[in-house]
Amino acid sequence: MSRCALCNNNPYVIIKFSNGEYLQLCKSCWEKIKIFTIKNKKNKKGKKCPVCKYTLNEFNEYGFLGCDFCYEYFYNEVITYLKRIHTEIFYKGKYPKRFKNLKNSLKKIFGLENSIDKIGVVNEKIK
Amino acid sequence: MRKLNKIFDIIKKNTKWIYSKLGKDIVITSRIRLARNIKGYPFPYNMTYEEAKEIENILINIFSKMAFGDIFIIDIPLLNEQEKKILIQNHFISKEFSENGSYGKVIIVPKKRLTVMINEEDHLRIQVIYPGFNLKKCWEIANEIDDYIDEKLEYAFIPEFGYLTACPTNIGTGLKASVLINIPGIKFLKKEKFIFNMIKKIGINIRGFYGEGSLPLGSIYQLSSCEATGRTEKEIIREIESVVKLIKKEEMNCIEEIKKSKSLKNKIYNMIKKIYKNEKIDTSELCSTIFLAFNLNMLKIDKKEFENLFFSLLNEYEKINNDFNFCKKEGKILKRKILEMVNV
Repeated sequence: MSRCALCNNNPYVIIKFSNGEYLQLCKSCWEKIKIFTIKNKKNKKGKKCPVCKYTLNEFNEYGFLGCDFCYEYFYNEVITYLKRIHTEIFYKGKYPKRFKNLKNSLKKIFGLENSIDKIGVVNEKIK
Repeated sequence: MRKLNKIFDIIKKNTKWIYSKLGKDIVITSRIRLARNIKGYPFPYNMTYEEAKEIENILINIFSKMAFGDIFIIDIPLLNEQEKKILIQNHFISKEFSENGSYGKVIIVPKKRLTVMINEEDHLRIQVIYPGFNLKKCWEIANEIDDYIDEKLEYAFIPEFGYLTACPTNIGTGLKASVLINIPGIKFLKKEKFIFNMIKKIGINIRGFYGEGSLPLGSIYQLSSCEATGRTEKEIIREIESVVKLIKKEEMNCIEEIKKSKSLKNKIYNMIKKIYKNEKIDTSELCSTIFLAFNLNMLKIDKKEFENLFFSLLNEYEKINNDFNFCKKEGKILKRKILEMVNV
């Protein structure tokens, strides 16, 4: 019987890493790791950020974002904007404390370096 | 709230300390700035007055409980013009921040040489300044403060992007490492354009005395790191440190070259002639020439007098594109000092 790779609880989801490896996680660990997943590719032009009501039009006009959630909600547009300035978007600096354990676990399991590879969800909610 | 007088006394002492390497070192000050935001709140550009106050209270609460000695909290909208000018001259706040009419606070922690801007472009900007070339010490303190706050609240952060900021160009480490350098030799030999182009290619920015959008003070410029992803904080700092070392070397070479030639003396004599005749002199050119003359021991004034001279030039900073006014008090003193150089 398979278990969560990080904490041994009941598995909830199977995820696949871009290096081909699979991993089962429980619901709680999945919630923590979700931030690494490939973002929703839907185009959100004209829609408002659910947290702060900022719009893409405002971003295009002022160059600022409205809140931290805008980075996730308008992920694709932000990436496009950033790629115009930086050749590579690749964070290598320090992590806040709440992420450090997660980073270390991933490093331990998959030997990931500072870069976090994009993760694809294979099968959410194992029956 | 005239406890402001107390903090401004402290700031004045701090000013002397910050500029204590003036005339001794090519690098006048070093600065580390970290930009951070709190998860779940709109950025300052997009927040209501109530949200701004909430952020202020959260952060003031955290800083008040730090065991780092006295802290002072300054309300930006309540300052008068002179008080704002003092904060700007100390690099505690930017001119834009000082013009905020509704909210914005600065927390000063003298023991840690720390200033914190609340609700400038981001929720939190941690800043540490040291005299001379000492980015390592600045980073050590800024990092310590950052770790402390990290335990008390959740920073806005995504592993792919790093720390999130209002402007996407600043995301990542949120770190800006900068130095104020005085390069009168390079400027006198008109080599600054060549050198600045070279270091821009390495990814270091050249700015004026107060950073982006400002002019240099004579031959005093700001060098700063730019945010580019793919580097750790220590790598960013090492990069700017090596550029500074390059520039130091170049400045010393220029000084040696100038010592051997007569062109500086001629230039000073020409400047003196202009003063005798009450002709106009560009403030920027005046600053550069004075700094150079001082570095070459041609200006017969002691360090304290040089500092006073520097501050009177700094006070005239706003008129940097204008001609220096020799009729005002500082101008008269300066005029006398320069004329005393006539026996050089």
